[in-house]
Amino acid sequence: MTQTELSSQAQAEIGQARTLDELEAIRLKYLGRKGEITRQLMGLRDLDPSERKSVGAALNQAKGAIGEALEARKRTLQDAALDAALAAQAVDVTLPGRAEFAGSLHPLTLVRERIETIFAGAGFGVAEGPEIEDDFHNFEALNFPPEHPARAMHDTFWMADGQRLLRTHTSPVQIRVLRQAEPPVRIIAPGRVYRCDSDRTHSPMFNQIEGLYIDREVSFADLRHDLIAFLSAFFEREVALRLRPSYFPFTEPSAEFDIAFEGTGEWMEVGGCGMVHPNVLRATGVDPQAWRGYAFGLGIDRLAMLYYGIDDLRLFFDNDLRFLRQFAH
Amino acid sequence: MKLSLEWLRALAPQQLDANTLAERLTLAGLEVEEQLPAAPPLEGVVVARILEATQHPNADRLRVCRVDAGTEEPLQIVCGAPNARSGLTVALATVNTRLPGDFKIKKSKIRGEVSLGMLCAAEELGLELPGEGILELPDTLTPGTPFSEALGLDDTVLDIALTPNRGDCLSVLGVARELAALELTTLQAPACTPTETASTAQRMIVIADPPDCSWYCGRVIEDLDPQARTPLWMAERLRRSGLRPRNPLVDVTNYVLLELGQPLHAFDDTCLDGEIRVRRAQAGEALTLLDGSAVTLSPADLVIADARGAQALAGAMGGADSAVGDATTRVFLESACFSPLAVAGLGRRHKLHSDALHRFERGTDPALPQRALERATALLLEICGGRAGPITQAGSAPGPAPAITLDLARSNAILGTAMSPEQAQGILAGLGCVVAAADGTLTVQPPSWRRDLAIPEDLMEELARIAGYDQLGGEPSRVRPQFLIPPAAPRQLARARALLQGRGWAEAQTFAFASADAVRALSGAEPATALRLANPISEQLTDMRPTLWASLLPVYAHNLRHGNRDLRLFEAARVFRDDAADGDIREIEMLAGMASGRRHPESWARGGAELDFADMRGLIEALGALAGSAGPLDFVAADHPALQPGQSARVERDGQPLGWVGRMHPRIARTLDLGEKGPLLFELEREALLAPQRRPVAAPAPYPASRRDLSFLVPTETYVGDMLKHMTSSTPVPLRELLVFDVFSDDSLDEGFKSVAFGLIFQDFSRTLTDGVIDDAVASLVEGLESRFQARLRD
Repeated sequence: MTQTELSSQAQAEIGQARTLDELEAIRLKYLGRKGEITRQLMGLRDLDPSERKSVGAALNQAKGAIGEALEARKRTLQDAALDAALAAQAVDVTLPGRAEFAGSLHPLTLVRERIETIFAGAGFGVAEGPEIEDDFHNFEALNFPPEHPARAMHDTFWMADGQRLLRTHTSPVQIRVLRQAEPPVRIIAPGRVYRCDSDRTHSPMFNQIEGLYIDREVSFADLRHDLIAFLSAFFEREVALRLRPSYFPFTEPSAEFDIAFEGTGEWMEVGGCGMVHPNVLRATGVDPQAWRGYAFGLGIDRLAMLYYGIDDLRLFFDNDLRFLRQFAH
Repeated sequence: MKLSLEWLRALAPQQLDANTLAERLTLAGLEVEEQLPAAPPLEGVVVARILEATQHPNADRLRVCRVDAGTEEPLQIVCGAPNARSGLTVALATVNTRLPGDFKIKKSKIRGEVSLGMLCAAEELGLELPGEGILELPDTLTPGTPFSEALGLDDTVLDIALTPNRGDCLSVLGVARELAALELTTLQAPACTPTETASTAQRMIVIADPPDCSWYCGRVIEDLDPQARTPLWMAERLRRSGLRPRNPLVDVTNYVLLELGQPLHAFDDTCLDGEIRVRRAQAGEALTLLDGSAVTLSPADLVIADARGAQALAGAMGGADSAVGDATTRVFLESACFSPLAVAGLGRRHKLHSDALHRFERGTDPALPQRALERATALLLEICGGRAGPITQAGSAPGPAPAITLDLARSNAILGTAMSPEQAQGILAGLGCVVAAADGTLTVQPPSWRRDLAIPEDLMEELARIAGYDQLGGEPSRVRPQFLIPPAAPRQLARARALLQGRGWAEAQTFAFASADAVRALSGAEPATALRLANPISEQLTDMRPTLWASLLPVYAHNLRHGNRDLRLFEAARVFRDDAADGDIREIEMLAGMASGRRHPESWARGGAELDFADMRGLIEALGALAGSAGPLDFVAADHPALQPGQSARVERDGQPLGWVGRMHPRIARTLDLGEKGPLLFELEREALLAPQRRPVAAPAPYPASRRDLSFLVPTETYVGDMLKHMTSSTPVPLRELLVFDVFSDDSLDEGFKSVAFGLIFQDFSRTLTDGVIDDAVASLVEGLESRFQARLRD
């Protein structure tokens, strides 16, 4: 058998090998210490020197070819073995996962955080105040005289002692902040407020956010600008804002502000605002000749209703899981 | 306030349509909340005149009328009204007319007589007007004229929500003045021409305390015709303003109130005795009011009294004794300016409200009483005849209002406008101010009716308001950047929320008031009276919650009722306690949860185990870990009135209590209808739980760790936590981690014992721990546990 025939025969056998053991047997048969190729290589020295060179070259070529074939087949067999092993480990990927319950944050929390983030970017810190207030902070210091009809605009919850009350707005935080901080002051004050009123768009407890900016040079036009800028950021569109003259004892000039519904163009009131009344500055020890500023209050719940397209405020406070779980994002 | 456009146009002529007018008023601060038609559509109703009314041949109470309805031939109409008489001008609903209430008029035969329509009473036309039987129209109307046209019913009523500072706009005149200031019209104020005195009857007036009432004018009018009727035009204007017409005396006072904004009162003069005194009531003085209610007065109340006593509650309501009626022929008309302070609180004290009080509370025009009295006199004489006596008065018209100095440069800076002195002067003059300008400073004297204008800022608002708030500059804001230290508490709360959300909890937001029953059940104590509301909105929302559980409970119950299961509800909000050292109320930020159901969603991949105490504890430990290197939480077995004994722990850190965790006591759960097994609960003081402490950062130890597992038998009632604490505090070499990997008790163990298996992971930062060192450490720990806890090491 020529070296070439030997090589072809070995390669044919390698191709037939089904397992790594069979392959090893073939390797031993040809390339092992007692293998055919090895044996013939050992026999070279018995050959005539003139033959030795050409036969040797042929043997080495056959040895190389067989070795390569062995490696190739080995890889094939290993791959197949791995495939088989992996097939045995296959899972049904279409089965539902080992899930946990999906939690959710309340939409009013999400909206409040959104508002806080936008104002934080403009340098507004967050301040808070008590929910059970006294007449001084809720009314008197805010320039509501006793028995003034403006108080009737606030359906106030009173505590049993007839002295304390549930704050009707977040504006008392203005007083608390200005009494302890030196201007310039720039804060928002989110929180729960209470009015004795309940229907589809009024809840006895709701969430407001107060804004207060006191500086040396700040104008009513700045207020209008900042409200538009905030609301446009909040709704991610250019918001049309309408300022309507109104009345709050603690601002002068005062306005309520409305935004236009997308599509219908109808106006919806979202808050009140104005330039801080000099009496409020005086009541908190701030010189109204040196400082001035704007304040606004807006309804978090109103913004949430607009943001999520909800038309019944009561859904927020029913806390039905079928509602809450929609806010799992 | 309801305002008829027809009436408004009489004082403020202009042809703006209702929508435009509403928009302009709203943008000037007079918010138009609603636009209403003055009357229902009355197509097919025409003016008609009864030519002849004869008795119905077959019915005693019916008449057969021949009626001129502007058609060629008179129509025959059967009518049951007793006032259907020949010559009367009436409203005829012709055949096929639809009247309010979808009542269709058909050609019919009534007891054998043909009837081609219906003669209408006011209420059949949807109009609230006085009179009985069919509506009697003025004879001046032409038969055949559409009824709506004849009465000017094609009118819109604006409902305006006025802010309390704008009492001056609580009249047709006031709104007309605004339109004039907006340059939409030229004001046509009603003439208030003095009436010539035709009688000497008069009544003297005394004001006891001048600050209560700056001016009081009165006049006696006698020989009034009690048969007189309020003319239809006046009745219609009152009706459209939301007032029910009654009789000419009351109607004229109401008319002037609505027209000019001056409340008037008509006393039956024959019931008065002696001079009129404006004085404070005596304590305990009694008065029966027009509406029949009896009030007991105090010196806080201002009254109009005669020689016998209080006859009216000043500025609010007249007394029943001196009330005018259908037979009144002689009145004393009052037109006064009571101070807002004198009537403040009156409505609340006596639980009453009136149009007069509404205006006096907000301040009426102090210069108006005499003119309004003249106006009312003229109207009354026109309708009822009679002879007017001289006007008597006390107090006086106000002097000129104090001038306000307005620095225009400052005004422009505050408003962000660039208004010229001429512009500003024009706006203020248009509002009725007397203005003098010099060197950029305006000296402004507001008109008597604008009691709300007192300081420069008030004038700035007027400038901006009349110019239009939408005219404010569009320049970028001058708000400068400010850099803040990120506050810790909101961030910690956000992380806690995210953690809870990640573990499947749904956040709730609830009302801060709860029912007394829920508070009682869940705090185990009577609700504190200091936390009770004086005027709760419902029986279920009476108490400020001392625990969030009281608010989560109704939410939990609501969800159960609606078939929701596997509930995990949490809330981060305040609770209220009346236990502050100074007797004040503390508001504490809490984080609380209420949960029940399966640990994981039902699945092929997991068993259906229910949430238990250990789940809650694991959750709370994870929350506590958000506080960084603050010490670990202790769970101290302790009883809570709302929690099941043996499944209840007080959560503490460094000995400071943070809150509670446990399972609702089954007795409470049963009472509250929450099923046999109560939900798991936790409530923790949020800020103390989460307050972050920065942990010193260390590189990983370079020396290997060694683990030893130990299993003990201990008496069943032993707290494993105590064993853990003991090992942690007594270990001779550093224990990096100590875990409990198995706890069980079954029949294979001695009765009264349980098996607890610990994994101890030792690691030192400065050396490799040899087996010998660890063996010694383990031996000493085992010895400690054996002696302290009667523990027996298992093989």
